[in-house]
Amino acid sequence: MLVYIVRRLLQALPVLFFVSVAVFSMVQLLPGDPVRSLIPVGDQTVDPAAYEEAVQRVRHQYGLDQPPPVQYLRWLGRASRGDLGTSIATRQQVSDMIRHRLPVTITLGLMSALISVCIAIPAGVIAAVNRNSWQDVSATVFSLTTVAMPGFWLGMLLILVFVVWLGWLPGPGSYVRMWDDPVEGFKLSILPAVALSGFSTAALMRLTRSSMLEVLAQDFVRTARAKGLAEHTVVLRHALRNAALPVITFMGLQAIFVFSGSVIIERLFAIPGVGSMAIDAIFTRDFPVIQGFVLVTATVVVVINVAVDIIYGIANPLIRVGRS
Amino acid sequence: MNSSNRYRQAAGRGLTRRGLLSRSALAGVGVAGAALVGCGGDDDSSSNKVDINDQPTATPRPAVAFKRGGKHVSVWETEPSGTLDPHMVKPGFVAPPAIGVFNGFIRQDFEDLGKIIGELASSWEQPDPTTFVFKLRSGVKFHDGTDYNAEIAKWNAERITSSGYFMEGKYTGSAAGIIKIETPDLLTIKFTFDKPKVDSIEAFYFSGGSGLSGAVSRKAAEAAGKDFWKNPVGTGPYKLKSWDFGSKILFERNPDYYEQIKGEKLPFVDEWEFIALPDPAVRVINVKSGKVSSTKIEPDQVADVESSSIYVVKGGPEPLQIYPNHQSGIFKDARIRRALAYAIDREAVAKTVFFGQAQPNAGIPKRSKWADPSYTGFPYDPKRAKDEMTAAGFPNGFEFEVMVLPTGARTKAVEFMQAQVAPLGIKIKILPMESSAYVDRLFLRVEGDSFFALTGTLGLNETGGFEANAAPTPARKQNPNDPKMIAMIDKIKSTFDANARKPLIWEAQKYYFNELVALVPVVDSFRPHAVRAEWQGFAMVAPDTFYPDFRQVRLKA
Amino acid sequence: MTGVRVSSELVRAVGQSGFKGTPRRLLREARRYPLGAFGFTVIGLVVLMALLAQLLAPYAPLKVATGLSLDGPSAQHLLGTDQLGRDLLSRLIYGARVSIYVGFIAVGVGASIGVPIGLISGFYGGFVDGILMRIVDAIIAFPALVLALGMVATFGGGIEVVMIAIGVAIMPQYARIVRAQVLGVKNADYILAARTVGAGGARILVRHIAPNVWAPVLVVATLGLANAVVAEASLSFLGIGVKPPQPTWGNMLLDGFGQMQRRPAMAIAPGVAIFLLVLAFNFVGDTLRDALDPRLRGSR
Repeated sequence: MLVYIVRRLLQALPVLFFVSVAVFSMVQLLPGDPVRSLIPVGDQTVDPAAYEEAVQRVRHQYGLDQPPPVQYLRWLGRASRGDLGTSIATRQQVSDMIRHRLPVTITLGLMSALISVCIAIPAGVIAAVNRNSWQDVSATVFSLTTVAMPGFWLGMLLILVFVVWLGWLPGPGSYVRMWDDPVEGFKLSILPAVALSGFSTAALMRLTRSSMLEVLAQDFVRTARAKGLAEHTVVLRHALRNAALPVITFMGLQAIFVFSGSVIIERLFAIPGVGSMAIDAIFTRDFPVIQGFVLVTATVVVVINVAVDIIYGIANPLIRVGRS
Repeated sequence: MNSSNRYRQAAGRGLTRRGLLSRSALAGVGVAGAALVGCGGDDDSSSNKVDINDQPTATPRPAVAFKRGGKHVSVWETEPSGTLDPHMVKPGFVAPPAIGVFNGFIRQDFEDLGKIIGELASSWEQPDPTTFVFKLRSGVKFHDGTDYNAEIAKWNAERITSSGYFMEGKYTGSAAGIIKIETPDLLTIKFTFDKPKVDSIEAFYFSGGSGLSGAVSRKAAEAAGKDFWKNPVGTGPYKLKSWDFGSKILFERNPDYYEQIKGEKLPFVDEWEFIALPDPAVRVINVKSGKVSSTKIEPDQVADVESSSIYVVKGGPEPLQIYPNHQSGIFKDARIRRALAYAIDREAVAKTVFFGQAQPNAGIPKRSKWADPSYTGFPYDPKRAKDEMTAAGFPNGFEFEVMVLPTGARTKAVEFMQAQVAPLGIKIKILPMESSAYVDRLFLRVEGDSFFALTGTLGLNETGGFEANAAPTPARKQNPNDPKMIAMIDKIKSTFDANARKPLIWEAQKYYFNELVALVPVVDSFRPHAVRAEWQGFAMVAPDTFYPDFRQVRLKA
Repeated sequence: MTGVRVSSELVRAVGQSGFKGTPRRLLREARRYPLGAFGFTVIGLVVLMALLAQLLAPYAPLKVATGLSLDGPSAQHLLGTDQLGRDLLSRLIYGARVSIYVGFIAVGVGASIGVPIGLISGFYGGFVDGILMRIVDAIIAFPALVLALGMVATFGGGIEVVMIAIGVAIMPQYARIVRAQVLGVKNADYILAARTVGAGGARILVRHIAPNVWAPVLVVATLGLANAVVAEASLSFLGIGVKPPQPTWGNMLLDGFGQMQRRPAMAIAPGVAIFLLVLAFNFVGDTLRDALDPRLRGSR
């Protein structure tokens, strides 16, 4: 068991290494110089020599004049100590920016995971138990509805319905964090969380349904039925427990999806999370922020997935022994 | 105003001619009021005075009584990032809050670009071409209670010229070249430049970004050090109250602000907040629901938003032009550039893409003091376009690519032009790019054919924005390299008599647009802003900045 | 990805059963799987729409008209016009082309990278497996949208870049599922038999293992098509998708957003189109999964 845990942890390191190389290379390839694009056009005409000098000085300050491999190693070295550099556009410490914004995105992710679970698991169970009946069809359609719409479209529709027509919720903007003001924060977070939950709801529902189907076909279920237990007891007590494992794996999926999906949702709902930070950084070629964002979110994703694998390994010894 | 050997401009002059402003009992303050009314003394411009009850540049409304207080929520497109240190230059969102928190010596009158309003300076003159003398307003205090005077002004000027951009590197702004700053007394400051400066009063103008005269509190700056940018202390109408990075920024009224209009102390509003709302549809939803008091909107949303509770204010105009690559590619030939200029139906673009919230561009917008009123720009003339194309050797049309910001009316404008010029055989290829990408490609690597964006400064800039686009610079390598144009600009810069300069500028403008076709003009768009009806006094600042002047915004009673 | 663990038995079963009767069986199943049938029909219609766009569309999709901006639905323009006076219905019909094209190419790219990686990784195991899988994990951990944004920013916008970006982002799914399949089948008797006879690694891989992994790949592919359509729409929403003036359903959504209250048709039409197509792909994918899982066939 311990061997398995250690093995999984060690496997995570090269993943992070590859991620860091990937993001660094991507950033190097991006056209556009953040330094030059920050200096107003008019002033560039006055003194060309002084302008060039200013640009060079700033580039030196950010270490942008070193060859790429050197820059990479310096960055990695600092990052491992927690120093992710300074944002070129906002001049704040990248680690501060992330520390400020990551909790917002994670809260959103957790809320949407909760919503997914509350919708998808009952839907999946019902669908499995009544396979190919109208309940199956409607549960499938219902949960697939949210994935079939692009998240931002679903978000926009939600805004139209709940903000414009019904007026039940305040419009996006001026975000309030949940821990500062739970009520207001909830009002501002519920719609984006629902919009974000689309993909996960469908995935989880499908997962639940297929695991339930598998489990329901097992012998021990037949035995339970033969013993005369009521159907719902069979379902709830025996089948569900065994089908619970995929939900944990689902958490790993959710982690991956949250950081990707939140980019658009945060932009639409004006939420100051890491997603909107990443988009602004890409548009302004803010290297340190892009790199920091990818590294941090990849680390979070990897950690969560390792945890998921470990739990899975504890639960199912077969996995530990050799497969996938 | 006489203008023999000496070039003089004195704001205070206008004061005594106006009977209205005999309340000079409040000396410094009264001067401010007068300055608002008009200055320069070149012409009697009583028709341009700002009436406290008017809503400048808005749909005309009857004068309405007002009340103080309230909180105004405004919107910016992306996160309120950047710094609130006016000496650390950063384009983008910073300017609007910065002009709320700080003052400079002078500012531009948003109603009439030719007018200069004194802020921390009550009067100024340029006794000889290399020297500027400013008389400072007395009794002005910073938000932290420290005094503003000539010593502090000098310290500020040194702060920006010595540190420059990003607080390192040499200052490269329009006030570069100062060799001496003297303070003969506590309310007078004198700048001496190394070279004669033609009407470089612009260097002392404060618009939130660079500009020599933005005043920060020395005590606060020295205490905060590197963190001053998030704890700004200035003299302006608003103080920073809180800043939620990425989301919103809140200002509160400075009760000791010096400026007044007709005896009423500014500002009127208790709190001003900026929130980040990147999505245009969401902005409209919020202004309709009242969560937001004013916001920039897209031209196609104007019809949707106008109602009894919301009115629309026009800003700008914002000249949108196609910047061609003069150094390589198809646009090297002036005939091709002219062909394109003739091939665009600017009226149709203004009417369709901008829903009437734009006008065909004809050189420098007429609001600018340097605009030649007789210049009418390029007509829509497909036949002449064809002639030019044929003369250049492309009788059946040509191809080129345009880089453009990916969202909003600009992409639509290029799409529309694309369809429009297609019958002539001109094929436009659209490349959506964020600004830093096309700056890199076109400006620096001189690759690509053109991009579509707004022109740089237009207001006080002497040569009307020519310089930025008329000759190659390290940051604009794709500019034309035309000896005649450069000679004209040099001549303008060495003519110190304002009246003699004007015809030179007009001539240069004609050459710049017609012969050189440095830029292919398209339209001037008015940046529409939606404002809730309970607010008045909402006006846009100078046309190249497009943010509201929130000194005068107030609630209706 | 969890489907992998859950269906390790499936893999074995599938490998043993062979596939000769599958197409006929699928048709029979159509009646038993109404959702799947519905899905197939919709996909078929969209493909037809894409192919016959020139015949079906009443106007040229790029034809601008002054003075007709943002008109509501009318007799001449069934869905109304957009800001530049272009007919929305025609743009919708032509937009199908992009959705189908982007979807299939993106999935094609993803599969053609992912499947070989999965095959090699699963079959050879060991160090090669370790490295390849870590790379795959790295791509999974890298936020997909950032990857796509980065690629688009680097190589410029445009339909080709968008497709490849989406393809790279979804590649891990194929790698993982193929690898799991291979692992399940690797030690099956008939593989051992092939080895004893002397068949080399590559030969075994191609001739015996590869044919047995396509079923789950097909399922993942159909779902991948759904995701690709949504991904294209997301990139267009950020303004960096397919280059204008090409109409795509994603572009049209973006244009329609601001007009949602005054001209709902502008945003709803492309939204519904995307919705139906994605739903259809999902139904088909689910149906395939159900149909190809032999263990469930018995329990009816």
